Amino acid sequence: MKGISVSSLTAGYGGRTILRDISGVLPAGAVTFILGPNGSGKSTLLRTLGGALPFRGRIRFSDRDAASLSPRERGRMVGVVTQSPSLNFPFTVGEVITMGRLPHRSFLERDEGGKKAVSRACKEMELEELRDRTLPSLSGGERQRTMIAQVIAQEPEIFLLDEPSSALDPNHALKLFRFLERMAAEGKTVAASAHDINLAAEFGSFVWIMKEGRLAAAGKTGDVLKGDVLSSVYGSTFVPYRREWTDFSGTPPACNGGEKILWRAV
Amino acid sequence: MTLRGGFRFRLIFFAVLLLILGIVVLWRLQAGDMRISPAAVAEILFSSSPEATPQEILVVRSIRFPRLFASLAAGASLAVSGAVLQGVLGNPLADPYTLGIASGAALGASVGIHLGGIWVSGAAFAGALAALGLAFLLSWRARGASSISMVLSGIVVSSILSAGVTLFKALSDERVSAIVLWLMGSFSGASVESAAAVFCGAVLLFAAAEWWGRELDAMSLGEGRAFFLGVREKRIKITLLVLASLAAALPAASFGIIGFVGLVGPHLVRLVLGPSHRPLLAGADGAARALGELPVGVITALAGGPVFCWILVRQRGGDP
Repeated sequence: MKGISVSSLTAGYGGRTILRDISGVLPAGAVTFILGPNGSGKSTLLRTLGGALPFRGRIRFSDRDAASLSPRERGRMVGVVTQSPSLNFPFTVGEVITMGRLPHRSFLERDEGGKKAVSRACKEMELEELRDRTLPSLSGGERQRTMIAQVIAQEPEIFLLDEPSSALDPNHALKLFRFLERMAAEGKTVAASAHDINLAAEFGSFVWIMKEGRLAAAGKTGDVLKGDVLSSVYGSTFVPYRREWTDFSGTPPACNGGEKILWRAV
Repeated sequence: MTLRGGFRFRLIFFAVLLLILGIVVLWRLQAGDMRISPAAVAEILFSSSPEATPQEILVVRSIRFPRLFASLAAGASLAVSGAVLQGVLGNPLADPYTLGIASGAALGASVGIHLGGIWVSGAAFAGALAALGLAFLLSWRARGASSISMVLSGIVVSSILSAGVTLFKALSDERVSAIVLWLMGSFSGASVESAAAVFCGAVLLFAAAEWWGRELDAMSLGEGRAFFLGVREKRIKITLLVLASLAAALPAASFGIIGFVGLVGPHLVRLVLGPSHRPLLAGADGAARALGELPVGVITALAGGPVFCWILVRQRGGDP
């Protein structure tokens, strides 16, 4: 099975158990969204999959046991986008993105594709103009794009993103999810947590819904995003609405994607 | 704003630092109560049968050269130690003395002086390492040695030990002046051997930190980032912390408390070269060797304090 498979995963930190008995698959070649209320364990799940927290149970990346990976192997295989970095040292955008190549360089190996990967990452997140600016001088969204670009430069097989669009403007959020769709089409595994259910409806092939540290529902987006499921997880009532592909003049906008069912809490 | 610039700019920067260092070295060796010309100094140092008077040879070889070597070695090890600690702990306010090294060494030395003045250096060294160990242990118990708990533990340990130093001063009657003198830091009694030991510590730390320079960069982005980039964060952190502590404890034990070099040296270089650790380390080393020539801890604190305030105020402006 390509992708990430998890069985009986239990994890936490600071003496607290947060994730309880999670089993499921995040398939390769697809974008999976991880949804759930505040404190349901989305970030903990992503950090555990990224190897940063001790766990019981089993995590497999394709045919490898996650526990058997060396730090460098893990760094080449898994890219984790976390929240904003420390601003104590004024690194430039270019320097931060170049750090993404760390798992690819060593004393004996030259990082052949390094420069190309870094400039590609810059381009994907539209950071060329900001390359020489320092992190503390950027806006929150620009910093978030820089950290995403670092992971893009890392060229991992698996992307784990913790609310990657939380500070992005609509244009850059769209560019990010289009990029993630392309990565999935190339056969990579992509998992992103989000609060916006409609992001999952638009860009996700699969959805995991977390509640109180357990996996409440998982499966194809259309099968999981249902009014009763959402209501039972989040509490409020959810009603579906159909996206109308016309603007107010009646002309259909020039984009594809077809009809989608979106959700709104009422 | 930092100047940064490319490889060429760095090369020029290091060349300028070396030049300043050279001038300082020459000046220190020939200036003093007994004026000796630079040519004579060179002859005394490098020729096996110099033509200078026996007094001049004695002054240069036994007094000025050991002091100079000691001050260069101490400056280098404190500055590199400061740069490494700031990177490892992700905290630009960290320095060897924030972590309790100074107060540990001071207490050790006070005990040594109180007990009759034997093994003062040994006691200071043991005190410095014990204080650090205590700070590590405290921070480990508190929050798994996170950066902030490390700095906080260092401050707590420092305060307690400083109280201990005050106590010994009160108890020491006639020896109190010896303690105060030691606390001020001095190279006047420096020997080539002690300077060489300090220098070795600095070289060892420098080599390790250069080797892990890129990893250090990633670690200073904050907790966790380096881990996700495949860095063996814990192993590197502990190794560098131990080496940085040794490198800072050695000069403290031999020459007393020389404040602010470890804190300000790296900041000055960062202003010019930016925060990347590999050029920073070399720069910090060179800059502080020139700085470290100022002979006493009191002077470094007097000069370094205001410089640090200036850096602090500048940083509030957004782009440090």
